[in-house]
Amino acid sequence: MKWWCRFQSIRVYDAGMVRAPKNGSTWIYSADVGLAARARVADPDLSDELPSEMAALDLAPGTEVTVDGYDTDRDLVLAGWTDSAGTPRVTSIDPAEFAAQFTKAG
Amino acid sequence: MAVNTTSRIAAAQALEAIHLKTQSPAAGTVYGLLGTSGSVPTDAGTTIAESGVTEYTATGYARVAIAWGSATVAKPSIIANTGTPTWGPFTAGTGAIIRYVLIVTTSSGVGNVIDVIQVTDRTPATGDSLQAAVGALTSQIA
Repeated sequence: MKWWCRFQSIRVYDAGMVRAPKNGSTWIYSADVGLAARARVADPDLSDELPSEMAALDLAPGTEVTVDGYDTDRDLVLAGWTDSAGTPRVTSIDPAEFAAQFTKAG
Repeated sequence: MAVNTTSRIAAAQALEAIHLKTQSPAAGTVYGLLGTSGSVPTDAGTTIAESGVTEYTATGYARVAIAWGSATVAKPSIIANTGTPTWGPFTAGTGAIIRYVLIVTTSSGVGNVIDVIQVTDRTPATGDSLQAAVGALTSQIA
């Protein structure tokens, strides 16, 4: 009996790796505050809240986004959405933050 | 009004198209890339790399589609953006000074440069978005 093995490429998954969402999939931003507002509060170098004109341009809770692609140079998810003024937007988002703050639509 | 530097490839394509030598590129989408390099590119090369402009890298940033109105029937003819292209919100890695908007052919990665438009220096803070007003981005062939 002949034994032979065919080795396929072995992919090692780090337990901490987050997979990028599928292109074209839609998600809902489910955090309690806007994406920019969250980032502003988290920045230790800033002590003020998001200015009102920037809040108007923020990705607000409940916003539906569509995954437009993945920026492989910076390892960021590219999410397309429409802001409160009806302007089409594209925002790059860290994959771990995307996984934590966005829920699958539908 | 922001000053532009048309790329070599854009100028060549325009001349060949109007002299009926080659077909104009098909209508499509062009994108605004935010540039942070300190020096003003006086001769925009064909590709983003050749133009010597460093692209903004803050988290939240992505190139956005730029829509254009009709070029004026004038000399020089001028084309300007419609709508309000908006970049961001920027959520991390801010601090760089944005000095240019490159009009490029791709939404990410490598691509050709159509125009380099110098803008008023901006240093976005965490949480900021950057928006161009209607007509703020203009181009003419030098």
